[in-house]
Amino acid sequence: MRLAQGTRGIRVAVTEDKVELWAPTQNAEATLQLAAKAAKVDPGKVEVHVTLLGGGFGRRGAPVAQNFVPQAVAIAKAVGKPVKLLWSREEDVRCDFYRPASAAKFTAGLDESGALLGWHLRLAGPSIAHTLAPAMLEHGADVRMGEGLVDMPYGVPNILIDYAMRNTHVPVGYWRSVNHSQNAFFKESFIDEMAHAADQDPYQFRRALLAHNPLHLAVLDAAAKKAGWGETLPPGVFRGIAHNEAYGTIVTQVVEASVDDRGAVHVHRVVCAMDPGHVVNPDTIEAQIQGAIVFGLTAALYGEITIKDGRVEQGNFDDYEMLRLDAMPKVEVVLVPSGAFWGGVGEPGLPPLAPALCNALFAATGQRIRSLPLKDQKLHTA
Amino acid sequence: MIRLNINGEDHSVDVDPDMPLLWVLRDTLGLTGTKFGCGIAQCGACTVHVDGQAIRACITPVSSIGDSKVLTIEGLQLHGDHPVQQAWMAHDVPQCGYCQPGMMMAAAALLTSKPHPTDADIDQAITNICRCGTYARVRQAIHSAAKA
Ligand code: FES
Ligand code: FES
Repeated sequence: MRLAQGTRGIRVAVTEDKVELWAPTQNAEATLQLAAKAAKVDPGKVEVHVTLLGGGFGRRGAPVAQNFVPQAVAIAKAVGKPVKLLWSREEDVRCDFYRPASAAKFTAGLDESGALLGWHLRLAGPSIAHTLAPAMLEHGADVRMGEGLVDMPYGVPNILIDYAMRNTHVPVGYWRSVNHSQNAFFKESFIDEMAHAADQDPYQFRRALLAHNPLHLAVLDAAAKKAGWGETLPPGVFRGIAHNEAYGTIVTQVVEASVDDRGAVHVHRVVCAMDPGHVVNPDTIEAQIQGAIVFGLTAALYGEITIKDGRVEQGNFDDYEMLRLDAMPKVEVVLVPSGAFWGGVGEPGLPPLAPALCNALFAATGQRIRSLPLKDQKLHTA
Repeated sequence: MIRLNINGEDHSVDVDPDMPLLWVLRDTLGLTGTKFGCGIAQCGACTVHVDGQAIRACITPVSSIGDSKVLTIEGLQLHGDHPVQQAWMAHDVPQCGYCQPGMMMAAAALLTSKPHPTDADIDQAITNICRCGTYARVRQAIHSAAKA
C-alpha cells in the first residue's frame, strides 16, 4: 500500500470554454488528456495546474490510476460549479492499485566447493503492465516482471527464469521500486540460503559471485566496511546483508536487528552504500535513502492488504500500521559514485531492506522468512 | 455563531457545532496549512495547539474550543523565526511536506513542555506519521531547536 500522507484530492472548474484543474499529479499530460476525454472537449481547452503532491510513490502517475480525474470532472459537470474532491483515507486505501502479490520458487545447484553451478527461478504474479499499460506487453509477456533478476549482476554460469502471469480481479500498480521490491526479496533471501548451504559467510559468498564485477564489488565492500561486518555486536543483535541494482544504481544494505522475548522485531541500524554513478546533492540522496528505508521497513513489518467478499478489509491507519519515529533505525549512508552512467536515488534504496532484515532475522533465530509481512510470522529468539 | 480565537485573532463562524475544528480551519477560514490525513486521530497531520497543548483537530468538535486560544502553523511565527522553523530549515526536514505542519506543531508543543527533550521524550511525544520517512531529521531538528 502506498498510503501517501495526502489522500487523493483535486479541484476542477468546468466552464463553457474551459476545463481547469488544480491537480496533485505525477503525470500532468495524462491528467490533461483524461480531463479532456471526461469533459468531451478538445485538449486545447484544458488547463492543468500542478500542485504539491502530498506524496506519490507511484499512485498519481499512470493514466488508468488517475481515476480521481474523470470522477471530479464528471461531478463538476453535473453540479455546474467548481468542485473540490478529497478522498477519505478509507476510499484512498480501498480504491487503490496495489503492489502485486507475487510468489517465487527457486532451485539451485552448488559444487563441492560451494560455488554456484546453476539457478532455476520460477515466478508467478499479476502484471502491472497488464493493468496499467497493456501497450508495454511484448507478445503478451511483461518482461518487467523479471526486473533485477534477468539482469542480475551475479556471475551465474547457468540460469533459467520462468514467469507465469497470473492476473486477478485486484488491480495492481506501481509501488516504490516496482518489481524490484519483491524480486530483491526473493533473490537476496535465496542467495543467503545458498551461502548457508555452502557453509560460507553471506558477504563473502556474494563477493565470490561478484568477483568479475568491480563496480558491484566496490559497493558491497563499502557497506561491509562501514557496517563493521564480522565485528562483534551487542548481545542479541544480528546482521544481515543484501545487494541489488535498480534503475542504474547499485545498493548494498547491512541491517542490524534483534528479536525480543515477545517475538517483536527491532531494527537498530541500517548501513546503506550506494553508487548512483554521480552525486549532485548528497543531502538529498541521504534523505531519499532514509525515506526508502522507512517505506521498505513499514512494508516488511506491516504491509498487508486482505480481500474479503470482494472488498479490501483495511481502511485507515488503525488497521494498517505505519512505522513511526520511535521505531526509526539509525541510518548511515556511504556514497561511492563510480562516475558511470546516472542512476536514480528515490527507489533503489528500498529493495535490499526486506531481504537484509530477514537475513539478519535468520542469523538471530535460525528461522528463514519466506513470506511477508513479518507481523504474520511467529519469531522466537534462538 | 461560534466564536473562536485563532492565531490571536477573533473569528465568528456559522457552522455546525459538531464540525471538526480541522474543517472549520481549512474550509471555513481558509487556513489550509493544517492537513487531513486520516480523520481518526492516528496520523497527526491535523495537529494544532489549543492553549499550548498539541491536539488533533480532525476529532475535535469546534464547539469544544470555547474561550481557548487556537494556534495553527500559520500563527507559529509569521516570519519563520520560531526555533522549530529555523531548525526544520537547517536540517532540510521536509520531503513531500504534507505531514510537516503537524510535525512542527507537535515539536513546538513538546519544546514548550520540555525545553530539552531526551530521545525517549521525542519518541513518546512525536507519534505523527510521515510516509516519506523524515523521522531521523525530525529528531535531529528537535534537538537543534532545543539548543537554540
Ligand atoms: S487527520 Fe487528524 S490525526 Fe490524522
Ligand atoms: S514529508 Fe511527506 S509525509 Fe512527511
